[in-house]
Amino acid sequence: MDKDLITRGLDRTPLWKFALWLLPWALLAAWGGQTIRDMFVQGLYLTNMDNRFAFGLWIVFDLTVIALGAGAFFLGFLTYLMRQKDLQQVLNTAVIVGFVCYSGAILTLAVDVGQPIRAWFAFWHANVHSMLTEVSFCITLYLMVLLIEYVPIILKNRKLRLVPSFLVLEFNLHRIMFLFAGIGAFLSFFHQGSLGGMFGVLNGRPFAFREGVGIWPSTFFLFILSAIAVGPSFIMLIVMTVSRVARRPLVDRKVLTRLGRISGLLLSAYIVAKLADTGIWIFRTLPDSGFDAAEFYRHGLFGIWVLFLELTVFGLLPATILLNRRRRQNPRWLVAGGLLACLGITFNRLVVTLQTQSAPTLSFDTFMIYWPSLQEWAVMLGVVAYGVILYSLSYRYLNLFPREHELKTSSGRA
Amino acid sequence: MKTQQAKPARYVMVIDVDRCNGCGNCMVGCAVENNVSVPPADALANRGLTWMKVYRVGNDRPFPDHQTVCLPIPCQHCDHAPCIHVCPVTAVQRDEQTGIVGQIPERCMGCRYCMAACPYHARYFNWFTPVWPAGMEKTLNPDVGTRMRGVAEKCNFCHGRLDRARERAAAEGRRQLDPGDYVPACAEACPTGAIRFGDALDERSGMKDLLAAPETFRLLESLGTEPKVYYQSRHAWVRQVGRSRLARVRGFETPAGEGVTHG
Amino acid sequence: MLPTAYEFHWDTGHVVFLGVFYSVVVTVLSILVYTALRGRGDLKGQRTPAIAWEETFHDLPADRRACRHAFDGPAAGRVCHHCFDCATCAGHPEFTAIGRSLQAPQPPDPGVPMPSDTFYHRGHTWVKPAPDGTLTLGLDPFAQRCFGHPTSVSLPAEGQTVQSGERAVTLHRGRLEARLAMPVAGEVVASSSHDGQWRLRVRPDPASASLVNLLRGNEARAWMTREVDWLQGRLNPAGGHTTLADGGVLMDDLVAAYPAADWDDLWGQVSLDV
Repeated sequence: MDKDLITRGLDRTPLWKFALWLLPWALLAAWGGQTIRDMFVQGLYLTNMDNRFAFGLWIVFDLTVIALGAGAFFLGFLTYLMRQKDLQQVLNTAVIVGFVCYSGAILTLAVDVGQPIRAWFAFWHANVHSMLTEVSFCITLYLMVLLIEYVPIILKNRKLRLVPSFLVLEFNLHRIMFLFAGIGAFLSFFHQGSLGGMFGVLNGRPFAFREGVGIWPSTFFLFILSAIAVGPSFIMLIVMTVSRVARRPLVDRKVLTRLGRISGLLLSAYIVAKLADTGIWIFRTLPDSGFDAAEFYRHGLFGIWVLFLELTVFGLLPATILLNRRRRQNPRWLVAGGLLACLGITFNRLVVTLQTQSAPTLSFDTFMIYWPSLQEWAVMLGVVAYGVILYSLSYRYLNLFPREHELKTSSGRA
Repeated sequence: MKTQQAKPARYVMVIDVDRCNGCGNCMVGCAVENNVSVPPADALANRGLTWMKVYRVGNDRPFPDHQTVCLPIPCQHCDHAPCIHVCPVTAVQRDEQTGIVGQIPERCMGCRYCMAACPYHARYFNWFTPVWPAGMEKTLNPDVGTRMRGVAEKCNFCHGRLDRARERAAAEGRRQLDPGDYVPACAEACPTGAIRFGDALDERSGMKDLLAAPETFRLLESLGTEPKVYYQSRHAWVRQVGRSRLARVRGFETPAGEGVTHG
Repeated sequence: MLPTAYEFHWDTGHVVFLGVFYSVVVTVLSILVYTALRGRGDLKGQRTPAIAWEETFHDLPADRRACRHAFDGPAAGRVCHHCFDCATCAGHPEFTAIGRSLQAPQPPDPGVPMPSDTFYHRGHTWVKPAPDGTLTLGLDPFAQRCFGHPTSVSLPAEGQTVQSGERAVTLHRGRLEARLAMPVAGEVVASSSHDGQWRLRVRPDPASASLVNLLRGNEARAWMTREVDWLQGRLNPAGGHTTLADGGVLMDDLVAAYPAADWDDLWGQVSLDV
């Protein structure tokens, strides 16, 4: 029915089947949307956040998706500015995933803050010493850059490209796209870092506080490093998932293993940096602030296993898998490595947000626990559903994978 | 806060813990003065708005050596406040003239970053729309603005009273405030006189001697926040309460245990 | 409300931070304005067909973009990166000279008639110069067999100017559509169509490269053989196909003969369209 809108030479499932695929995601998005409305109309008391747990699931979600979406800028940087032409095969997906991640994060933030209409105050009354100001500025601008990178992909739709002004716009945008790749890399460097910096500057929270270089605590650099380590893995996992769901090869195998290798290398660098940072924190920073590391690992669920898990199961293990050439050739191992890396970053963001707030500061504080409410899950899952819907529509109507057609014909499925 | 005064001041609060009997009058006085709203009855425990909050702290020893004190904790008005440099919309500012850390509710966008930053848990968020039952709006203090849902708020040393004190002094032809002219609601309400307040730079207030006394301590001094709320106690274990937990426990030389507290 | 309330003052931090931020904003906006202006210039300057050709070319798979010098000579396996614009290609003169000196053997008969006075465009249109200086255009037999009997043909009007690569001729057959690229630039002098077949007469634009980019003679035959092999491969993916090495003839209407094939895709590939 909508064959005319689908790229020539690519086959997609019949429209009714596609609608059936979208239906559960649409319902999830609707549930999320309804909950967002409740948040605005009734109030944030519908969550399980409170005065001791001011940051909850949504902040963890924001931090995680922004780190996972780092593939957009990093792969763009590698493709346009470092001339890694192979990675072009996954670049369209990376841009869309990035757009979905950042727009989703901004939407979640709009629900999370108590007065979203005042968000523009961050620009008008900017506190230039706050990491959060830096984050706001950069992610707003970066979302615009991602939109500018997304538009040409849309304009190359089979029918849209027949419109002369669309075609010419796309052509001219494509010519200067490397400029946006550079701007995007610049902006991303700073906001990925500032997200880490947000926690590293908290001198009132010894669990999170880190020393650093100038105004930038070590977490600034650790967040950047972990984001670029995990971004390629996330794109790799997405492409492999889409490939599996669609039951066809979409990119050359070597591109996937390449992404895995990049991830493995950067993850190794991250582990080394994190080990050093943790050591400095335990033996210098904490004692200087009058606290003791053991303090933070004796309460409730947050035992020393947290540190161990982050560094080994979610750090050394995926790094070792992804650095091993033979393992990378095996899709199961590749997925395992990528998945562990992505879970590791999720875990790290969770620890930095939740454990910071759980940990007592005053000596007579109790250890607090927090579990998100149903409404918080609804909003988060709704945003995830929005992402799936947007990507599904893009996959159906746009030519995301330049090699898909060749891989189809060469595998004899003409 | 735009302030003009002849001489800069440094307002500090000194709380004598040994005198505090946990009556909670300071909390009530604060709420009345500052139009602090009351959340619904079924609200979660940590959803309350208590600019001044009295904690009960024990000494971790079993009967008969067990002792308890009550610790009123308002905003500590730190000189190196973690909340000031994290606010993205500059809704928190420290007045250079007085040292008071003020919150601008009309500017706050409710991101709660300041609340994550504060180690004293002295900041509170309006999870609910403030409502006053019919008739209760007559109890509102006309000199203090109410806040809206979705913004953070905290103790501000009742600086509205500072403005009124200055107006009175100016009307009387004085260029400087006298000690006692400006006193926050909690200090005024305290029946035992445990809460003292004054300008540390003014010799007449007597604050300097209090700050220098050996029984004076502050909370979490090792973090470098430089709070301007001081506490006093003749009991050694109470003075340890301001340190980090393990440091405090080590100071007691008792086995580490979960202290008897609730916030 | 205003930043200047509550004792705001500028310091180095403000200058650096806001300076960097607004520089980036200005840069992004300038790039967008520049792009919009260039786009407007392209539209006004009638560069749309050339841009469309270039865009489409880069979206074609590699096997549709083989360099002409791979067919009969020196550049085996080479892929064109120049939109088949041999006139401005740096390698073309050199490869042509080498090809001539190599004297490649006679290519096999491709199985479709290919007169030696006809020039062929890679999109399967042919060009034949007429004595009066005009050029006659038509669809080559290979493509005719692929398209069968189109139900409708739309041609450019007489007097209309066409650019090289402009998709001025459209064929329809049910849901299938082929937009054919013009092999040359010029003014349409005569256009006619009958029963799905069409002819154009074009007075070529003297300023354009005209026939340099088109294939002819042995080169064209070698190309056509490869095209037939390619089509056979696509229509019989299992490999069980009858070879044409001995000079068999392609069936008249392949769409009817192979109804299960993806003709939407094949029509596009034959006409170098996406």
